[in-house]
Amino acid sequence: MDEIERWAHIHIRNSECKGCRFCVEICPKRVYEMTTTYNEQGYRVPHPSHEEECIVCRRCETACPDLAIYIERVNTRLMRLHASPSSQMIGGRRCG
Amino acid sequence: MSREKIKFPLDGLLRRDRFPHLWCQGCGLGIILGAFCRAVQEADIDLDRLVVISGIGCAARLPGYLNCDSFHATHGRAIPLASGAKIANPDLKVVVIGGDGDLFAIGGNHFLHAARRNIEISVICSNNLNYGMTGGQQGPTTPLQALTKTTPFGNWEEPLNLVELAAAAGAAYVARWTVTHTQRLTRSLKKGLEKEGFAFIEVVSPCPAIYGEMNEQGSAWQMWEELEVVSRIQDSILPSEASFDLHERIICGEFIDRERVGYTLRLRQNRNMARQEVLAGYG
Amino acid sequence: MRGEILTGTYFAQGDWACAEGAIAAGCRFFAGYPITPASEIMERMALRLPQVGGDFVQFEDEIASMAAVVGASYAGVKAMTATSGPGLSLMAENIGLALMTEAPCVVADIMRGGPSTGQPTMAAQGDLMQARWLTHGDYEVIALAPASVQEMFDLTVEAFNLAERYRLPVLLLADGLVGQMYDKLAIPETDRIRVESRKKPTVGPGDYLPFQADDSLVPAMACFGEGYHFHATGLTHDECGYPDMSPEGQSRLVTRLCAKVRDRAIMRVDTYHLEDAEVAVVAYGIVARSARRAVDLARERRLRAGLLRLAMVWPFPAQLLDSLSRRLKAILVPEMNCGQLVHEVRGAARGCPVHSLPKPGPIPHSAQEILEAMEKVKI
Repeated sequence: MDEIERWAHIHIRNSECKGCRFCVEICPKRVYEMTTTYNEQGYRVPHPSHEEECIVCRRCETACPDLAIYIERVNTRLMRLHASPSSQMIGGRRCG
Repeated sequence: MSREKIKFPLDGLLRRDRFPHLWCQGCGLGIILGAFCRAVQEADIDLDRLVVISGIGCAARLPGYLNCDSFHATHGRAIPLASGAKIANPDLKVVVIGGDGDLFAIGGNHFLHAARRNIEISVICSNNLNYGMTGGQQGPTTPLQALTKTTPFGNWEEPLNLVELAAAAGAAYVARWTVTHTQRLTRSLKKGLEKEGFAFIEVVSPCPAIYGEMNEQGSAWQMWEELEVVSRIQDSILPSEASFDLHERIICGEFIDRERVGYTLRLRQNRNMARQEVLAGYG
Repeated sequence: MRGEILTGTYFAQGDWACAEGAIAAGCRFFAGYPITPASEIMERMALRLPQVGGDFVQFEDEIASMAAVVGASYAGVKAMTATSGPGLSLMAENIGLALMTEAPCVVADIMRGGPSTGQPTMAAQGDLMQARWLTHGDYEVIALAPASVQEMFDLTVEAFNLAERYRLPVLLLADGLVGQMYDKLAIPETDRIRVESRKKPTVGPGDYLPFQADDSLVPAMACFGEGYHFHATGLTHDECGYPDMSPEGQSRLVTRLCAKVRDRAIMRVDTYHLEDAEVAVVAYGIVARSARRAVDLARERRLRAGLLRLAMVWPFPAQLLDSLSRRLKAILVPEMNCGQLVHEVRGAARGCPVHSLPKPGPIPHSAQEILEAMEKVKI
């Protein structure tokens, strides 16, 4: 079973979000998308649709005015996408 | 993936039971709150020693969200209250947080003298160019020609340069940032916390719901982008030349970082003098 | 060699005695601003506080001074300031903050001619109502009224004790003459001076509610730096200290703030020849001294006069006045203003007529003036 590698798990406290879109706009990897889901306060909330693209720059975390985001860095274990030597991980880091 | 149950890194510094906070969508104060918490962590401040004091306004609500001793005082009077606390117990780490009106209009005189005394507190000013909490009236930093509830035809008063005033009054550490400088702001707040003297950090902060709305600044994000575009970092500049033109150029950076004898030290010296007089038989 | 309490007998100024009383009570922080006729209190504190391990700071104005007093009180130190009418007007808002956040402290008001700048070097008793209703909203204050240099010492100690016990600002309301006069002062031995301190929490930070009170209606007070991480605000608040904008919250808080004083029947009065009196004089401060002499003169003329001297003007002893009035023919209220205390006396005393003898100052009533007024009102 193929598993997509990722550097982070993105946690959002949706109930505290006020839908300002800073995370959507500020992310250099375009991880977030605005959804049509409304929270209890009546704001539309974002979703990290491309969580696997997150490079843990934490711009969203530090810019979020509601302190509603936490980027949890996780150890990546590269599972083979396709059997290709160039995509193998060496010593915990991707080379090539 | 939304995992709401996990503990966030800043949770220990916050009164999480009071969230979501009361500030508007896109308000810079939440960013300042986060930066301050990170600065406290980086400076390894003991939360039992930390006291955060404020006056009145949106910025003044910030201490209520921190997990430490906090005091929400009268409008403009946070600085003298903080001075009293610091003098009475110099072991406390005392911080004042306020807005541009609270600290520089009604509180201006107290700011001036606390800086003059070099009392060992940090003063963080969230400058959003108006009185937000009360609906958007003119303040001492409102730009010329800006629209506010009390300048409906455009502001006819010139604003104050806060960093120039702080430097002139004698502050030991003076810096200006915008909320877009999240990392530098954290570092600067940390420096302010570690300074044994009067530290002043101005943080230019968007007020999208009120100032922004009155002056057609667009969305919160658009106000953020504008601040990013117009701010320039120039550390080695005279505070008087650290200009502030909202749509042209906002000079940011650390302008003053000097050594001055701290006020509580001077009070200790005074005590020593007094006791010598006692021994000499006077008084 | 000077100690903390200067036990001994002195020929001292009222203001000087007040400062020494504060130090005897454990005051270790003074923030103030120069104002006639109270500056001498500040000057004495400037000299003495650093000697006894305290701190004195002259702030940029009275508003800052009062704010600093609240801050120092919350940092765990007994704190005071001293001023006169114009300064008290400036301190109004922050005295309100002290009332709302229940910060123990003492504010001395050495009264001078007013309103506004008035007659700075002249005595008056024009701040009585201001002392009660200084700031907006519902609250109770305690105000003591010394009538001698000795009382400037004794009642200052009392003021600190009451402030610590009830967690509020206590005013020391002295007219300019009592503040400036010189007279004999006896400062007792240290162990003969009773000193009280605020109640501290008996639970840990996890269980402490900063504005939760027991039957005493006075909450235990944690201070900055003790690890309690509490929040205090001038906004109406709940027991946790957080803002509370609900109707129940407002009612609960202000009711307790008033009841913690009202329900205790706190009173400090002196009676002189009241047992069989037909006419009673009700007075405080320097005027009470003339009144006492007037009572003596009246008794020589076989007029059954007596004196009720208020050493505490707020809370006002309404019940005492009422029961007294029922066995009197008349009450006379001499005061150095255009009539302030008389309204309070009239409101309370339903048993006999109450006559006003106002005299705006700066010269207090003479014994003769009060005697003539007594003879006129006795029927």
